[in-house]
Amino acid sequence: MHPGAWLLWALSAGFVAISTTNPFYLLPLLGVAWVVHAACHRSGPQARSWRIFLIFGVLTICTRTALVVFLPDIQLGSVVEAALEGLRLAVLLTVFGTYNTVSDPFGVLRLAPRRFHEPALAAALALSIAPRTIAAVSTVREAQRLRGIEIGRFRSLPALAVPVLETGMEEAVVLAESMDARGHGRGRRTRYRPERWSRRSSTVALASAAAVAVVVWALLRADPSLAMSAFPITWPRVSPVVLAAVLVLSLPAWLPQSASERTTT
Amino acid sequence: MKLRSSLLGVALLAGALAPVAAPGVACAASSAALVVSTGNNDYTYCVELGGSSVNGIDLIQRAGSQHGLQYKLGYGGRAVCMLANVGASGSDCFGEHPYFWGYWQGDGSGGWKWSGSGAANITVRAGDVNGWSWGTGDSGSSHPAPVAATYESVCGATPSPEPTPPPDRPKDRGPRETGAPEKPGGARRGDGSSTTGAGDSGGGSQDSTDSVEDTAEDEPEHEPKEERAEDSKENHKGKEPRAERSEVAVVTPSPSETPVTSANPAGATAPEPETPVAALVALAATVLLAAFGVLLNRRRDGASAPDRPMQQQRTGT
Repeated sequence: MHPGAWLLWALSAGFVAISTTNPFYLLPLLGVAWVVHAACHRSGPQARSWRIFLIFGVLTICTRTALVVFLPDIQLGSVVEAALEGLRLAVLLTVFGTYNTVSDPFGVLRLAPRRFHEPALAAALALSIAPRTIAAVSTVREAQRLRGIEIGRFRSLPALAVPVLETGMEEAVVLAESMDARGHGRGRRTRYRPERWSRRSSTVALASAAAVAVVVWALLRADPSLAMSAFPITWPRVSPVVLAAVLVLSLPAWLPQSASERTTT
Repeated sequence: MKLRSSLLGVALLAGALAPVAAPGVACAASSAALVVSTGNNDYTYCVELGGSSVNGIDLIQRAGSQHGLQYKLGYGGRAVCMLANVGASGSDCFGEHPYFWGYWQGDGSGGWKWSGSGAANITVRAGDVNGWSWGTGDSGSSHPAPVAATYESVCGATPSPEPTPPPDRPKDRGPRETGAPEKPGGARRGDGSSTTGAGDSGGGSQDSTDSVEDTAEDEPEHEPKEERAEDSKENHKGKEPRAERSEVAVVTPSPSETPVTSANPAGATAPEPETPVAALVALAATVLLAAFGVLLNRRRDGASAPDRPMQQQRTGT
């Protein structure tokens, strides 16, 4: 699928995640992020990064809640509110993780207009630093395991850190060289194997736009179902339209993808 | 012997505690007045404070649990977003800015003072009057004040810790104090409309109940033997006023319990509790998506395993 469509999908899902604290929208969105990752992730070591993002998400919820619990004047409502805000951040993180495992951030870089090439490069590097690091860690650990180096939990950390940093530096240099070789930043750009905007891409883009439109409409209407009231704690209402908009975002998982799309990394 | 002496000790202790416990009960029945002015409607609530320390936000929560006041708080429960279905009910607590809920404190004579600090930092004591008004303006001079109210006009009786007799409206006070002991918990009509019509009619009904009470209490004492000598029908007749009395006694305080001055009651526009079908659908969808994800992941892992040697071959050659 076209990287632009993936970017649109990720932005839409992230927008839906940050505009609600209703757990009955956030949990399905978490499921959507998971199923899209499971169906569409690229093969390679960066596929593991989704799990890391999920772990970070759970840590976010715990931290956000713990911050409130240790404050004086604790109420049940504030704990619930904090947990829901943590959940919102966690869902945002998993959506980001899905985007990283599903699409290549440097694919978007190729789409950026020449004038915005450098900011786009910075954005792509920033976006991909977590999955690249995770991939580097798994590569280094595999190499260590093959050489019979004992993998302790904490003692192997320095032995792990140096090669991981080195890999990062090396990757950056290789990236810069390869981009230079392809004429980036010189006004001359080659189009080697351009991404195709397939019908699947337009379907996903349309679905994402529809989901955003529904949520914007709900926001403008001040739909009370978007926010779960913690003072007093009430059973959150669920608007079927907004729920449908959330579920529509899982469309990339159900559309069949061609074999070439699967193997390209 | 030991048992008996210990029992005696307990009895003495109980006797010593009894007079201490009585004011404790009176303290627990202390209340404060809460006035909510939406601009169109004015609601007044007489709120039981209970034992613990109560701030301005707690007072709203108590009015919600005791009298069904609709409310929504934000910013960690320190800001008021919505009262009586007026205000922001969405995710943005101040979504209707510049309109917001202004917090006022009663000066004891019906007037209002703009509160200098947030409701969560104000301790509410028995006999206090708290007011919330919906409008624009961020100072006491520009924000509309709530409807004029005193503790007495909302709760009826003077607060128990400070038993100062109310100087105004002795006419209104008279029959009520002689009548049946009134619960101070019930919220009553506000000042605005009850000055003439409601007050007079209330007094009238109170008088009628008093007279009914008198006859009902007198009759059984005078006539039971005569009636027993006569028919059972007569006996039923003799019971009728008693039944009527109990009915009246229940009915008369009930209009005073509705916390409404206007025709539109606070609970009328309250949203009815929704059946959580959509929420269950959402949860079911989450579970299904998670299961599908696991399935897809497993299938992809299985499918990609035979692919790998081919890829390696391709890269190798």
